[in-house]
Amino acid sequence: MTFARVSALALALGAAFGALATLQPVSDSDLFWHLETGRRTLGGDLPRADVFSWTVAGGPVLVDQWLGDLLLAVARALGDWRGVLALRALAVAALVATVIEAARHARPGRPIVVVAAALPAIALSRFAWTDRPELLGLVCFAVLVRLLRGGDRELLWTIPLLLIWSQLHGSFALGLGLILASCAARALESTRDRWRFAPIAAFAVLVTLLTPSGLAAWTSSGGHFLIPPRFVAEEGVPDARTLPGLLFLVTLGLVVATAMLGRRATLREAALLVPVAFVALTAARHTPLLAIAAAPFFASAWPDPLARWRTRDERTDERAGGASGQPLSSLLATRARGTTGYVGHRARWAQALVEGLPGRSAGGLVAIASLAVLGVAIALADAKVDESAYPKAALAALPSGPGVLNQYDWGGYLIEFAPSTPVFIDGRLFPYVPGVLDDYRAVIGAHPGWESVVVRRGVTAMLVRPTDAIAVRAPERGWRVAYADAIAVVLVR
Amino acid sequence: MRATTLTAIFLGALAAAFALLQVPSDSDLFWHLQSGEWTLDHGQILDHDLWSFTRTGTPYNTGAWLGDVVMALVYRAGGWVGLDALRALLVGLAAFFTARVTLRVQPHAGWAVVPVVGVILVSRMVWGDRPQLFTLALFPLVLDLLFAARLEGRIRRLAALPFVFLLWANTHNAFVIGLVALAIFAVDALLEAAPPARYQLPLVLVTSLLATQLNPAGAGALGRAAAYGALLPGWIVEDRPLDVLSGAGLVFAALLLAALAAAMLRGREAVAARLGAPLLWPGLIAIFSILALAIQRETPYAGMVLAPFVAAMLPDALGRARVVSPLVPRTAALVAILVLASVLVIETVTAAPAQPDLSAYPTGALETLRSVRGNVLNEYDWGGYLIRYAPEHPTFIDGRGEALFLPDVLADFQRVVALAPGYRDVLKRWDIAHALLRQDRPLAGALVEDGWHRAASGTGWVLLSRP
Repeated sequence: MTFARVSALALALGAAFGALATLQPVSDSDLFWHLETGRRTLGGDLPRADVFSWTVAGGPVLVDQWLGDLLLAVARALGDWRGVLALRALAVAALVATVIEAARHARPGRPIVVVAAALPAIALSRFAWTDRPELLGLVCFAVLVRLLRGGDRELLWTIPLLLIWSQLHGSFALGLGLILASCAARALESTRDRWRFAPIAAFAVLVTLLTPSGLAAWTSSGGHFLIPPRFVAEEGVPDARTLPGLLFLVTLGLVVATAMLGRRATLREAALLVPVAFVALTAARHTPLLAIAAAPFFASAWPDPLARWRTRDERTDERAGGASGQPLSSLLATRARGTTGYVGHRARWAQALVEGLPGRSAGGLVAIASLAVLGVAIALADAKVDESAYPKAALAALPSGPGVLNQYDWGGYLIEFAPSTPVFIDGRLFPYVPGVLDDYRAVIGAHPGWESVVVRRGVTAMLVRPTDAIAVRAPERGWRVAYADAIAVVLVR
Repeated sequence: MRATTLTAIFLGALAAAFALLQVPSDSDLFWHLQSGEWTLDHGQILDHDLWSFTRTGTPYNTGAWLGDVVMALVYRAGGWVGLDALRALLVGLAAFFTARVTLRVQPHAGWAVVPVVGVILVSRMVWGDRPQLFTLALFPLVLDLLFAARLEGRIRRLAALPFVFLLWANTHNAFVIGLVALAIFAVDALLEAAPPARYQLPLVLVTSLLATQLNPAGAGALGRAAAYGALLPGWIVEDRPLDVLSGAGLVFAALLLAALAAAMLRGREAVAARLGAPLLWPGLIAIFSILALAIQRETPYAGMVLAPFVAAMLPDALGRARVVSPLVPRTAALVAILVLASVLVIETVTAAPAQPDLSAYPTGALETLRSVRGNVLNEYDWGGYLIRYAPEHPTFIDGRGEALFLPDVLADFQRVVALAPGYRDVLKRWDIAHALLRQDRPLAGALVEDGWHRAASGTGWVLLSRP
């Protein structure tokens, strides 16, 4: 793969979907604590101890996503919320372009097949187009898939990729597993110098430790992959009753059917797809991984619906140019070498579209056009935080200082918009497991004994949803409703 | 006798021996038994509610009247041990037919046993004493008949299918998954087989479909089953999506991923050469795997479809040669079968549980319940138990949920036990005088705080009475 030679199709579709991603408002709750963490890192203070909560204040926190947080903070510093949105658009564009490029590499000259093969990945990843380091992790994963389908030189590029990835997001653990599996598969497939893959595998393990977290970087990854906290919606089992769950199951069905009806795959392909399929089955948030990994596999195996017409077109070209028997790529290669061979106009168009840009000037044009589309979309986007799901109006009634128990989903929002009120819990989750989380669930669900938890923890106020059991029960037990609307209730003891 | 047949019998006996040791405890068992006994006593099928105060007199149909009657007959004849034996028989048949299908394409017992044992382990999730056990046995029987016809040309066996579906549609409403399998075979035949085989399977599909209409609900049974699949009622644990990090989920995932790896490494040509019917396998495996992942109680059936593929293609991918099943002398086979049967009989007499395990139920509340009057709000999972052991108190809700209590009673139940807004209205509307709840329910804590007195309590349960 030559990175400078990305197909026009990949660039154009990447830009189009990047532009579409700007239509989604900034609203992810976890974004806010990522931003605040990144802002502190930007100021030279990588926060290794908690400064946002009153329940685990001063306790150790993970810094495994420090670079992702930093990028978000830089984007915010440069362009406010539009900067965050621009980072998302660029990440989505890179993700889609990489998926398309990987599929195109697996099946050059078949744009319809390539786009069809990439569609499940685009559709499923859509639910991860949020402003979190997770999206950057997906981009890294897509690049890894492309590299692992390449030769030994591409395998070497996975090491620097993994070094960056392990600073961005905990999903690097899957990347490491796949690199190790690919090394093993290549060693088995090789007839000579099988041990040459051992140093690559060793370096891959080593670079994941070169993070501020060191070995602790594995805590988050291990927790998410092996014991996913199921009460968090995205950590739940893929559910066919939801659109992403349904799309995932269809994708899985396509993978199974393609494997059984398609050509024989290599051990390397199986070593990539089978482990990813298992990881994708474990939790809803991992489902896009399967679709991304499967895109080149689909592209290489699915039939071309235009095959009949394409053959006719090629025959016409052949009659016109007399270059019978040569595949399109050879024809283009001949032309690029400066010979006078004739190529039909449709073939030239198709080549430019899917085989890669034939010249630097044309490549520059498509790249500039794609960037322009992205730029315009970012400039025109409504770059505000969508607070419709957050307790914006309730903030005025919220007491300052420790003692407030907040809804889990609003922790990040409070860190950004109510910094004088430290949170009880937020989306960072792991610092709160198990003690704080158990207490939170006891209180929010008004389970027997919730009042003793409130006393033990020193909770003096609560910011919860009106549908939470505690919002119903606490007023019956004498708590004063300091504020209430359709979104939130503030209760004061 | 072929060694494969003997192996299948051995695996069936093994599964039966394990199933025999399971203690009856399923909550739905009790209301199924009551339904069967009522039908036997009255000489008519129970078609309206008798046991709840929220739905009294409402017509309903669970699609399992014959299953209920068989269970009641067996219980009358042999008590709890009789039900143990029925469970063992049906689980044994399921394992036998699963093994037969698998050994049909992989005669090497060593390769076949591993996935079949995996399926038996996964199937434990549906070993509860309910009519679903009939589905567990009938699905692999249908698969066996279909594979015999498709792969070995034993077309005559297809004549049995309409009768199987007639029986199935009256014993348990999951007969639809059998029709799905038959439809996949029919489509495969239309696309791949040459006449007249091309039209035989579609014809059998139509005939079987008609046979399923011969049940008390008529076409409604099929509609209800289809609607059930479409609604995916996630409020019942066994209908939730499969968690591949659970025990059964891990076994299923191992089978699925082994099938995927083998298929990738061998490709269509090798699948066609080794198994035949290259279109059939992806159709069966993709559809039933999706079904299992969407509704976890369907996992055993996906396993039954995956087992033969894995058993045949995994060794193929590893370069192992195909073997031919040896013959076992008839006398030796007969002796082996007699020994297995004797062991099962001895086990039934000496080790099968003679009493149900009621430790998960509020047994200590029965005496108090008999002495109080008024409506009882009960836990969903305890409804069946109360129908059998506390008939003087109609239930608020019970395991007939999908057939009887949707949507409003279930919504009320969920609202009140979780202390959702309006929970007091529910208590008032249904005039709840007592609440038999798990101790960790928010409602239990709230009622105690509100002055309801603890009439009785035990491990994990509490009976609260209105002051």
